[in-house]
Amino acid sequence: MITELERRLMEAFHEDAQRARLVHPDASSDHDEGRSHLQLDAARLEPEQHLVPVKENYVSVDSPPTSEVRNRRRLAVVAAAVVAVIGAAAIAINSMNSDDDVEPAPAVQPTVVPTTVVPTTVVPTTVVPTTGKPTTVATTTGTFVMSGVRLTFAVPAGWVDNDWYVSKLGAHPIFGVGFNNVANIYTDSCPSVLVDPPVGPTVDDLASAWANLPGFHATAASDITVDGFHGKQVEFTVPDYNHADCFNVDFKLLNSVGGGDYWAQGPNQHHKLWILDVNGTRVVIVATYFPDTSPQDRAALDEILASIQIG
Amino acid sequence: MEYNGTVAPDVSEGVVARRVEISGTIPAGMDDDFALFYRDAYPGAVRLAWLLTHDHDAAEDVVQDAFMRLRPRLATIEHRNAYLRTAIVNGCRDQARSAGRADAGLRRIGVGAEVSSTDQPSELLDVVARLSYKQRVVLVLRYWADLPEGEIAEIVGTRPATVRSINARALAQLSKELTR
Repeated sequence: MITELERRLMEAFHEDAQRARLVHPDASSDHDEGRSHLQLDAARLEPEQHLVPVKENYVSVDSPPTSEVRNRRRLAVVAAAVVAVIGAAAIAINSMNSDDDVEPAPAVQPTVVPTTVVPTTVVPTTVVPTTGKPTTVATTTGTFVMSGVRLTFAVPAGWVDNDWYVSKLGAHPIFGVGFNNVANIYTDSCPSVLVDPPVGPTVDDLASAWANLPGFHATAASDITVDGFHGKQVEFTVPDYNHADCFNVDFKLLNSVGGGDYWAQGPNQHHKLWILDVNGTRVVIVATYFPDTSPQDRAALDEILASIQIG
Repeated sequence: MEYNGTVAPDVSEGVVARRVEISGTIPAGMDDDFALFYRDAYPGAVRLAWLLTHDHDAAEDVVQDAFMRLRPRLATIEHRNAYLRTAIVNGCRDQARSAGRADAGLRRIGVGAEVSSTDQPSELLDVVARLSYKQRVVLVLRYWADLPEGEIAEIVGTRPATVRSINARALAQLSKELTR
């Protein structure tokens, strides 16, 4: 049963949506059947696609992008679409030529290079979880580059590679394994108050930073080695805060080098941190789960952690 | 798990622009997945971003970024429309935050000389603009995108029951504001 207010909302939103500025020349909702007409300033673009997350935030810019930057972004995406169409047309031309008794025309090489794509490979593997039953799953490989450090990791079937973190598909709240270059942490996450003075730059500085924070029940730092790189492991649990108090505020935990924050998905979210020194870069690998996370999912988390390769 | 990552460079310097014109029929079976998805999803994507930001440039930025992120993994994403919507919802939130207007995305309309008279919102939308970002997202996804609670919950990152609660609270607040 739709109320009058709901009906008015629908009408207002639909009317308002028509005000959106569609700059793509082919962006009418009722394009011709199968036809694509694109006219644009294409560029030889090489967007350095730093891995960006999907679910919850990717970038936090201090100032709005310039129109030049916007145009470049626009070009990059539209150019990608154009390249695709060029490629399709080239294939079509080749296909038509191949039906004739003439030498097939050489494939048209797209002159627009829109993006660098990190390929993934599908490798069926048998996984022996630390808990739960061994399962045979299709696992893909993900890659994340952070401050020049390349991290490669397994993405189990049913999990999603969001670049900077891997999460269980459809999980609510979200949990998984993420990668971070931490500049500082929050001493009071709701509201967000950073530790002052900021934590120091070393692995030990960060590993010991939670010890004095009330409510986190952080473990003592222990030594670890991940793919030949030494570091510390520390675990803590997000306090049982009242989510309503943080409604639309976010319970922030980590502040990243270069800006940006990482925050919890809910009370009692457990965090296992691997803090590594990778040739001078402090790489933080964060695995999270909740008290009700299943043994199978915990095993998948372990699988991801165990698969991490650096360099 | 949520994150504001570092800024990803958009393109390298030294861009050489040129004009390309393409006109033709995409052959059946020869179409590129991304090209078709982009063409089909772009209008709705921009409209969603517009409804959440009421800023043409910001909406365009968010949508382009969302497509950029989606493209390399298009083939592996199970629900690409949901992925795109999620990226847009999060992107719009970050846009608002980065400009220091987390809860004023819609209210930005009417401020500044660039806003045309056709951009003037209705009284109802003006009240909607005073809701929290999460409430606005839920309302837009529910009453414009016509998504079920489950899908909205996935996008917002919460449970369907919470979506129901947010929706009810938002409607109650709207009703209260409108009767003042």
